[in-house]
Amino acid sequence: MMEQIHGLLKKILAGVCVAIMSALVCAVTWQVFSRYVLRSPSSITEELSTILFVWMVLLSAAYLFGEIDGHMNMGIISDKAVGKVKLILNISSQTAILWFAVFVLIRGGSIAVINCMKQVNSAIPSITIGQIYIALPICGYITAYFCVFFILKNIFTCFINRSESLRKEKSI
Amino acid sequence: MIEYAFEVGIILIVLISALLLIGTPISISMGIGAVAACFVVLPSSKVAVTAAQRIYSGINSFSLLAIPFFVLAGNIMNNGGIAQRLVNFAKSIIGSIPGALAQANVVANMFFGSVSGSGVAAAAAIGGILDPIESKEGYDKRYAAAVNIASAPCGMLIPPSNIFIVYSLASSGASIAALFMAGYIPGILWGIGCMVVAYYYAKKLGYKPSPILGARAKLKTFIDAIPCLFLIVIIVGGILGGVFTATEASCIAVVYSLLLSLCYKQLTWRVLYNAFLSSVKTSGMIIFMIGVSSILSWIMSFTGIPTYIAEGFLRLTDNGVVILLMMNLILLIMGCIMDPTPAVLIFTPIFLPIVVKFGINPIHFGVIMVFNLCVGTITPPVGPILFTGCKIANLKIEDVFKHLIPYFIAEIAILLLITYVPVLSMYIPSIVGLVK
Repeated sequence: MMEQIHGLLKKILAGVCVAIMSALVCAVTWQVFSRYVLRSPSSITEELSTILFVWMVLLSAAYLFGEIDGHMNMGIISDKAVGKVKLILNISSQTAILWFAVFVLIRGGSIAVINCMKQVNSAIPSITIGQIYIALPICGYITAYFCVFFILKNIFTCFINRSESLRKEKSI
Repeated sequence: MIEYAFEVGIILIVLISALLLIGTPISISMGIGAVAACFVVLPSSKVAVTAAQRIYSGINSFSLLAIPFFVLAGNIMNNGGIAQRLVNFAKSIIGSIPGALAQANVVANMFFGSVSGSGVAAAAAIGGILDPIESKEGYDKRYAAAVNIASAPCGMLIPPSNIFIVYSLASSGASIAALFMAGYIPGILWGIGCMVVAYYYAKKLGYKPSPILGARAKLKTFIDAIPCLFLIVIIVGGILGGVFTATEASCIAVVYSLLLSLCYKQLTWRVLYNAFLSSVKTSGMIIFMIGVSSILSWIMSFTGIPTYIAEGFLRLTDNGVVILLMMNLILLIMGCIMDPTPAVLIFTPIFLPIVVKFGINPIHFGVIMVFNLCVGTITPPVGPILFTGCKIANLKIEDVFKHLIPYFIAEIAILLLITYVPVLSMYIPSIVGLVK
């Protein structure tokens, strides 16, 4: 079940990120086109692009937390570790990501959303700064889900390996 | 807040190193270290929200948008037939010399760098095209792979360059256009260094010159390459002429390479979707790191850590030449174990105030820093271009590494030249009026 949600979530995130990237290409192209061809520079494209960009970065970062080694790391020890040591290192690393996601992205992000909900964006008055900040807790929740998924998967793998080795011992 | 600098410094070093060692992503290691340090100087109720807002403000920049666009343009060129035309053109201008295909590889990497800005993309695209041809012509696979790997970082110095955009942000104000212009001569020198070494080994290995192309064939490859080369004119001319910003230029590069690839009929919807997704992933990883590193930059400047480090350096020596040599050494070592983006984000706020005190222009220092870190991209254990080049050639790192050593020597000689002869970096930005 968790495996299916994980796959589906990644597919949705990939689709959303690609759609935002396409929208960004259109928005910045329109900015150049409106300035040089139409001689009527668009007033909102730069701000809109920056907002879309923030969302794309945070959602793609969350997407990468759903991949093993999705984010850049320096696996000097972890790449060489095997067996239990590797498992412990994986779980420790995922726990560190989980803590960051919960404390900074979810908790800090949610407070930032509440604090800035009434602060209007100067270039696009229909959007508040708080609404833009919502990307932070969303990124946090998705990241936290992926971390829990990987931690449980690691523990599950450990139990399977242990029970298999016990079974082998018994049969011998 | 200066009184907390030592405590904060220790927390940062211990926590970040420990988390990196256990394999935690670099962004999260920097983030947790910085957040833990924030607890020393801020009330605990404010830490989470300050960190979250720092991440947001680190990402919330229109200039940074150039990074995903240049990555996307590189991916489209890689899949859309542009790289092949650049290789053909490079082969035609190299002519008949021993190891001509290897020389063409260097020139093609320089061309690809001047339209895409990514060393890894250049190693994959150009190496992928030339590796089978070189094997067919009897080139030693290790020699060919070493040439491709050693010359691919040119793309990170020759504009457009994503790493210069990151440096511009980390230095809080160095002009992207000036950095782009400053990278030209060092990037070309890097390429020339590779060509000299490749030529020497080609002669030593007894490679015969390739047959010379006829004038008509040369003209055809040139005409074929004109639309691809025109991209350089659009990007550089556009930025220098003030027609558009670096971000707008990068977007135009995407649209242009997309149109060109559609004309060459080499793009399918699936390939295009994958190019977009790959760009989103690459840039998401880099820019999330930039966002998180702004918590680190904030806590360091809040507690005055760069000032302390600068004083420490000055206590060791007050000789600018020695300081630069020490920084080069530190950056070369850090480049070996760290990717250029986090290294630029961590070391720029520490080193820049020191070198500025010695009258070194931030643009010149940006070139020195990027050059150092480019060397790191082709060295183990963390060498993204080395890994890509080996993967493309289907070789192990240990097979290629020995063949890379002469290139390291050449690049380090050029690095010293660039460090101590500032005019090599500053000449072009000053003649186009970007620096006084």
